Amino acid sequence: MSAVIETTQLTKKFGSAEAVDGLTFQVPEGSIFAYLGPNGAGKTTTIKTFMNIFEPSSGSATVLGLDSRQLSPARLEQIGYVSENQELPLWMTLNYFLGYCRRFYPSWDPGLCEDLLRRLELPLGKKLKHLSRGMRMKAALLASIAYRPKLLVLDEPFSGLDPLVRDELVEAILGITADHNWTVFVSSHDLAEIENLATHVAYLDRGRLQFSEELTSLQARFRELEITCDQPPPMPSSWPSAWLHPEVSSTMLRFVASDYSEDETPERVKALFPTCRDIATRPLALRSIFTNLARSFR
Amino acid sequence: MRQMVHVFEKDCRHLWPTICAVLLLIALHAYADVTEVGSEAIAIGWSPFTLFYLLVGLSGVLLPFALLLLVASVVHEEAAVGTEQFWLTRPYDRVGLVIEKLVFVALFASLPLLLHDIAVLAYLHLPLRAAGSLLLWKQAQLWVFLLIAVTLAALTRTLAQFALASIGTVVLGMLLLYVSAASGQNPFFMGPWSTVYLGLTLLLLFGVAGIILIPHQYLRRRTGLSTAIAIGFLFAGSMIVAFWPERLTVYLERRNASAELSNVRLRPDPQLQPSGLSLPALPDAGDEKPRSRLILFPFEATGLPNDVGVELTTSSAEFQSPAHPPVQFSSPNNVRFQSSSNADSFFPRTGPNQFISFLAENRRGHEVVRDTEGLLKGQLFLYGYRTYRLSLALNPDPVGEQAFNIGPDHCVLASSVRSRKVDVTVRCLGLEPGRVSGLTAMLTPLPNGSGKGQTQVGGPDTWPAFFTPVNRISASFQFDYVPAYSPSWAHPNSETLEPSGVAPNRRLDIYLEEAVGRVVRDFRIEHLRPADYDIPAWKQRGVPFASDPTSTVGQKH
Repeated sequence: MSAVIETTQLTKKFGSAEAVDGLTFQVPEGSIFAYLGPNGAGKTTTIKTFMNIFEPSSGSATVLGLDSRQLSPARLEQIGYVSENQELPLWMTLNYFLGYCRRFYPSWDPGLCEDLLRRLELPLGKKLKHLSRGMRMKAALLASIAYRPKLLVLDEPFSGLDPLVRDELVEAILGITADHNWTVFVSSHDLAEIENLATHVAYLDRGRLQFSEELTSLQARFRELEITCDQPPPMPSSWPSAWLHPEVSSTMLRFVASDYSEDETPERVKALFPTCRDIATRPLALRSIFTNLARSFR
Repeated sequence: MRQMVHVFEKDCRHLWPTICAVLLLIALHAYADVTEVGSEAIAIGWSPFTLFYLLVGLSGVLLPFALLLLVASVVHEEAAVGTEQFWLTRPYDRVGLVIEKLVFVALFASLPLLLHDIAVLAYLHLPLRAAGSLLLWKQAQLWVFLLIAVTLAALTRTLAQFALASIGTVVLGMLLLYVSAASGQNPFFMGPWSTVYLGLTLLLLFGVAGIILIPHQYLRRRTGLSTAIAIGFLFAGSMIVAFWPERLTVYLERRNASAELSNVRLRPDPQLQPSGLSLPALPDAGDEKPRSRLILFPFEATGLPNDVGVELTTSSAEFQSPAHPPVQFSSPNNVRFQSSSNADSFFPRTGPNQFISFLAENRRGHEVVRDTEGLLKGQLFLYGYRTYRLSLALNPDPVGEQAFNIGPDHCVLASSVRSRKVDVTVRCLGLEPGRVSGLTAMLTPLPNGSGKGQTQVGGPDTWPAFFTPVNRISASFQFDYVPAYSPSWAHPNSETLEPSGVAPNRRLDIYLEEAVGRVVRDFRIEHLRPADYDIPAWKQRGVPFASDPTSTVGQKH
């Protein structure tokens, strides 16, 4: 599977502050790549850098096989981009806006546009400035996918939207990508929705990439462990760094293993706590993984 | 190309109110150019036409701002500053986008103003063919103005930022020009041709700045770097002013000197005692202190054509004597030299021999050297003028309007009689930049031979001047006919008028002065002892003071 986006030691500085530092990751073709991280982690900066809105301070990014600094109009015809802060031409009616965008894209699909208009229930005659925030996001999404882009980049597309609109958008994105095998790069705080969407996940903290992997692999290696002992367990002097947030409550020890392996982890637990008799494991939702990681990086 | 047309259509669709406002203002400005209305709007009171006339009157002031608004708006449609603009992630051809913006500016700013100029010239029957180079020059000036505006718009994101950047540019430019002019040559003393070439160089520099910066900003979108380059160009402009080579000034002035002034020389001669020589009236006659450090030295002008005079506008001189530091002198008042063979052509009449006054800039320095013999040398800055004279009959009364041509201008004279006074207004029209520098009227025969009036030179509320192809001057004069209240006005030829009108056979002599360039002449006066040429010394020799001629005639430069 070839990479649609590939960054190598991508760094962006603003003055002396490093917004993103040495990012190296790949977005496989056909994946839905969730780019997660707390506020100010550098998610938007990463996106703007590989979209050639910012120039990298060092390192490089390639998008659809081309260096991001050389993204040409021909390449932008294959990329859809929707951002929560994007400034749309608000004076246009939706009808004029779609007509205006259409002329930039030879691959514009009027049938798909009509279909999406119906599904998203957008009013053609209204000016964009008179649409609600959710409607505007839908309009931006429509104008970014009606030409069947190979890559769809969504920067916090669900931020501030009510659950109904959010569901509609997720449904639309899922439906389209499933149909057309597009690659979607989405940064979001909305972990519940991302969990339904994503095939791959990357986590960014303070400009540094903590991991980037398939969602199934991530979910497989994160487990909450609950260990019951006969007496209060003594904490070992060398606690594994991949075991997060240990909590002791009477005879019970609880922590999150970020390197869980069905074969190895119980053995390691038994070795560290020989007096303990019962080990219970529980898979974590993406939201729990995210909050555990965020807490551990604090 | 299709994309450019597409974006252009979008810009037209969005900015049509601003486009219409600009086109309307250009039309109103054309109306102002051909009719000279606007200033009379108040006189007609509030009526349905009041707003129209006010707009016509204000069109010259509003038009530059409307053009700035149009330029900023079209550039900000796809602002090059910021990271959230919709267009940044769409497949825009950026070179095409820059071209589209420039084509938009050409079609809605440059072209309408060119058509405006042609229409105005055609309506006023001014020669289009002769105005070709003028129109090109105006377009070049306009384009530098527009390119600077496009550059500032490309470096800003909102209209407020654009307005601040424009004000900042003007302030910074003025500051740099002031500092550079103070440290180098003052461009206003460089001479007319050097000033023109300096202006051309600056225009070229700022035009190049725009041509470099606009694509740079759209292709690279590095606003900080672009702003630094823009400030660098401003700085470079000020350096050109500061380090404009004096040799180049001398060369350009010599190469382009007007033929009329090429043979004019001013020769100092202490023995010069022509008839009518009198001491000049001093602007600060009541103050003894400046008078005490004044040297008056007679000069003779030679090589003057019959219809051309020269006026000393200022001088820069230094008195050097052994054992004393040099003392700087300058000339506090203008002095006119004219050929004696054609005295009737000029008003006021002077002659080829005149006093030039030199005022010591340092009183103490002057006191030290006033009894010392030394060398006074320096430069005289002369402005040349050609005078056209025309005599018009003012009969029958009231005259109403009378069209006439004088020198390069088409003029209209209007007169009316009111309360034993006759009001005369002369309006003249020529191609911009007008070379007419003064207008004087004299009614004959009259006791004093002239009337009081005021001349205004310049276009109708035009700023900057390159928005209009014509230059207008107007002058109004008022003449007293009946010396009823002042016996001193009695004159053998004076007539008492009937209240109903002007006496027969009155004539109005109009003198129109046309600038013919400026020259700088060096002078040296050897063995000068300042005390021998101060006011008391000349009084002792019995030379009378002149009354200030400009206090009784309507003349102004």
